[in-house]
Amino acid sequence: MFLSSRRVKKFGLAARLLMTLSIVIASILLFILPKPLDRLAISVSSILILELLILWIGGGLKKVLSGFIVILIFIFIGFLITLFSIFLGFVPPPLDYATISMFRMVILVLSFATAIQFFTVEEIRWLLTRLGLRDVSVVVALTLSQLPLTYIQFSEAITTVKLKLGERNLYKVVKPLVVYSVMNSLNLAEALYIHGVYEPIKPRFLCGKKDSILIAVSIAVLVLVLLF
Amino acid sequence: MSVNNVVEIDNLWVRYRSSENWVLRNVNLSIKQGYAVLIVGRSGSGKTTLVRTLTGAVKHIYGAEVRGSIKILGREIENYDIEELRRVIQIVNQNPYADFFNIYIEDDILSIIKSSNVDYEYVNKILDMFKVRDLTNRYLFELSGGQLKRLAMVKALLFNPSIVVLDEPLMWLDDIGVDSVVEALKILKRLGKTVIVLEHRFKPLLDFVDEVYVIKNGSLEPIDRSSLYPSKSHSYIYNNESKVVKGSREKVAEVKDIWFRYDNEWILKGVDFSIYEGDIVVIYGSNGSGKSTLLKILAGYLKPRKGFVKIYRRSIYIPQNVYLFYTEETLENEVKALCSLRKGGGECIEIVKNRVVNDLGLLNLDFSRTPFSLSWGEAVRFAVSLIHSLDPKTIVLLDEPFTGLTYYERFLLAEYLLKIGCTIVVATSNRDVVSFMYTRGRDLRTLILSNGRLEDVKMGIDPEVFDLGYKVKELLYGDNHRA
Repeated sequence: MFLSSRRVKKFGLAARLLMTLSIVIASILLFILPKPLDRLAISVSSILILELLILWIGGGLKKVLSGFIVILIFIFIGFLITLFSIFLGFVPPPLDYATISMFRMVILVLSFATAIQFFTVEEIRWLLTRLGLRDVSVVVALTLSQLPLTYIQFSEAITTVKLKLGERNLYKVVKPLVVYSVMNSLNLAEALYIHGVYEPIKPRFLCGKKDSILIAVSIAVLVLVLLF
Repeated sequence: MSVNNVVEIDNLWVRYRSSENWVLRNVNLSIKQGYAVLIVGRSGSGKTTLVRTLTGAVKHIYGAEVRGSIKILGREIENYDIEELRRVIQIVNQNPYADFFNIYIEDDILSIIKSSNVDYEYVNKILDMFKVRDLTNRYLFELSGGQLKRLAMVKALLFNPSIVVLDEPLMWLDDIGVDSVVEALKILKRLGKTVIVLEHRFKPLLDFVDEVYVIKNGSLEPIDRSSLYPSKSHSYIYNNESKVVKGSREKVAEVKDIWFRYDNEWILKGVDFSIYEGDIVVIYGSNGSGKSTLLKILAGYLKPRKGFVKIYRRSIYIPQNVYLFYTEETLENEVKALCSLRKGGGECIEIVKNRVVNDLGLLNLDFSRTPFSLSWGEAVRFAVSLIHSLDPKTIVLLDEPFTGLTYYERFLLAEYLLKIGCTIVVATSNRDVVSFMYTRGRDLRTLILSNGRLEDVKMGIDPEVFDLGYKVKELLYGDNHRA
């Protein structure tokens, strides 16, 4: 979910920044600004479509499906809360209101996922470095590069401990994983010492006509939420 | 110092902060420019410490105490600043994943090129020489160990160093990966680089290196390279016992037409086989062929998309990184944890401890030791022994247990697995493992996993590996050693 495709580089960094910022801001504004339900529904669906579009650009159909899974999780949680409130004797909110509120939450969560999805690790590193957060940028790059490998070790450890000690003792997986992480950190520290940490490559800010589409859409999103 | 010597080590002593003992003691070494040097030694002998010392990492990262003199190109390493040192000596790590800072290989390489003004023509040349151009537009986790090692060599060469040090370059590699890395090492030598290789599985390197050193008890000694070649000429023999000998033995696991895929790629396509009590099964396949997946399906962790798996006995999985098996602070607590699951009290603990001691033939085994201090081979043998002592009928699933072992340690582990008598399934990507497992007195089933299919096969056995096992025993452990 958090690794972008190289396809995002077809657009300039500035346009992508503007797009993601406008989506995040618009998603937050929808919680703050009072709006009639029908207008809220139009704004929410427009932003949701945009977010799914970004997920598609950043990672293809698979990422879009991941986005739908997030939606399904929220539908399930909303359903459980409604059932629970009925059980406690509260009057549940009307279905249309509950649905739009749920989607409002979905777009807020997805807005952060898409924000990461729309930039490569190297670009995130460059941005952080420009913000004066060089050490943080190194930590972010290392974390993202080691995450898939740590996941593999995690899966190995889970298989092993489950068979060795049973599901009840799965928490014991922590110790070998901590030992692995410490050893791996030393390896990484040694590698950084040997190879050094180099400045991130400066990304392209603008890529021509394609960017203008993103810029126009970003402005449209904000206008839609603020004025409509 | 001779002008030709690019590395000159004189009376080097190294010890880590946490230890009283010197890991390296009075090490002396001179390496001529353009030479390829092989250093062999048993696990924990100080090989990796020597690598760390050559870059100063042992002091600056590990805070170790270093005495003596290390000169690189005639200059003490303490007189280099780190940027200068990187342009003189580069290391390819044991763990190639650690060599890359970015998750996307191209970004990693490009950032060095741009920051250090490396000539693009030179970069293109080495990318082509190492046949890795197509790999640069991939993610780190999509690449195999062999591909990553070649890319790590390319990354090292971006600094155009005079010396390239490779710590266990053949570790984790399948037989195809080994060939590709050996080819890459030959290219390094052709480029005029001084190459220092520290490796357990040295057989594929013998024709390539100019000098061989052995590291033993912290000291380094030169040895005659020819003494490591197998002494007799052998021809391949073939394992004719690959057919299943069912007899009256009970079926303990059954796999019927299983299919499994990651994303869109089918990794197992209709795998069928059965395991009988006491079977020793070796599943041989290249990296990424699906061996680990098959073991995890047998372990019940992964569910096949199609087909079924029936396991009639308890099974235990020992992963490639064997230390992930250990969940307690001490070996004693490992025994206690497993006994308590079986509701066995002090009696169980004593029985299991005695069985383990007898199994491993280690009368002085210290159970208060942390399992993470065991050597790789010891850790595998202790895990198997522990499982077997608790329940001899358990099916033991081992994923690449021979990784990181010397030829002698491989021999010992194979011997141990064959003598213990429980049902064992071993996944391996190295043909020499099949050889070590073959002639040790019990029927062996060898199965090849290729293109998603598993076949019972006759595999060629290379008797030379036994010679190597004995030679390594004499060289590194002493004639009377018995682990």
